Amino acid sequence: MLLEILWAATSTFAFGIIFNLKGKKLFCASAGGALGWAVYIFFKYNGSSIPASFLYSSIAITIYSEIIARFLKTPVTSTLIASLIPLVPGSGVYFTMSYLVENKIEDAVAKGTETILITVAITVGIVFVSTFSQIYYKIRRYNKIKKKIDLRNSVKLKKQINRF
Amino acid sequence: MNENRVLILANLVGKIALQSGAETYRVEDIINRICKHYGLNAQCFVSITCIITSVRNHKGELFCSVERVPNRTTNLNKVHSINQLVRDIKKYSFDEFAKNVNIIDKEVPYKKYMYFLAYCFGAFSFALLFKGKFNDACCAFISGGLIFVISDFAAKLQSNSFFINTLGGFICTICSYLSYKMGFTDTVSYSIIGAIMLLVPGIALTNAIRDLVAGDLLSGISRAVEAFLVGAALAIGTGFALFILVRFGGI
Repeated sequence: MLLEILWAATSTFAFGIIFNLKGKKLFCASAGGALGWAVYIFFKYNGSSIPASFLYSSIAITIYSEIIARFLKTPVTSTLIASLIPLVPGSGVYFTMSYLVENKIEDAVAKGTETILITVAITVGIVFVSTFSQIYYKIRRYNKIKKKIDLRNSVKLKKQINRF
Repeated sequence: MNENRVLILANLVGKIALQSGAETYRVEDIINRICKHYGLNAQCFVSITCIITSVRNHKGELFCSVERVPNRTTNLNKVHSINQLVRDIKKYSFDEFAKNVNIIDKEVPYKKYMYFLAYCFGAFSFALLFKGKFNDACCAFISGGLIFVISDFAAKLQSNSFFINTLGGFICTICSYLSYKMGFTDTVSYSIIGAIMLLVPGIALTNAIRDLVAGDLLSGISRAVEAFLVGAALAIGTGFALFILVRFGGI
């Protein structure tokens, strides 16, 4: 199981090179890939269904890259895209096609549905976290502006008081 | 400050960012920041293939420019440097800024053999990740290298991504089948999956979702369609190869 996580990290590393990531970001992205796969394995072996474990995993990866992006001062996508790659259901696409060609229609439909469900789960995970981070930063900015306005108002008040 | 020069520079920066795989709202934000810094009121519309910007100066004169973006690659390092440069725009004068943009535009990516190795090792570790054996991984290693050679050649010919993905799926299926027939691997599937993962549309999918969340419906949908087309092309390539093999050889 540990070996699988290691392979997830190396495959993300290779993808980081293909996407032209450099320096610290490359290592952070591959750590993200390993984290995502570890979360996926954890939930899968604790009895969650496969799409649900993909959902948790994509939530974990998106939170991780939102945090890392603030630390490294890069766009969120630069670690997110590379870290999500091991989750994308390439095997589902292949098996659906192979069952279709071998005329096992029922298996093909089951596998195809699972592939679509996995894609939807990953999508929902990303949407969920990005929406909440947007809301969080909007609230923070609102509070900052409010503080500034309050400061200004208090200064004005003091001036007015001094005048009288 | 000459409005035309600012407009051309802002569109160039936006074009570099969009070509390197930035999201739509980031490109719009970059162009707006640059125009605002030089005192212009900008309205800009970015879709996946085109940038349209119109700016108004303090006299109320309008300037407009349209920039077509024919081809897109993925270079996340460029997105990072452009983003950083635009955030620090106050530190630079106009000429320095333009110079830095040119430096980023001509930035050298990794050497070709690095990409080759990355494709090979990527396929290798994906095959092991999906519970394949060492022999499967070695086979995936070879087909990963082949996929790089093909996609490099096709990029030189400037053919479309649909064709590249169909061909890639086809070639890696044939390659795995040959190694299976020679008795090197026990099954066909693991080495094919390992190599296919290299072509899967991860970046288009992620960016499509992020665009849709940010409210850029047009480019979000076009990116989603792109991801779907790439996936379909991949499936068609592997399916066609499997069909031929089932008909004439038997798996």
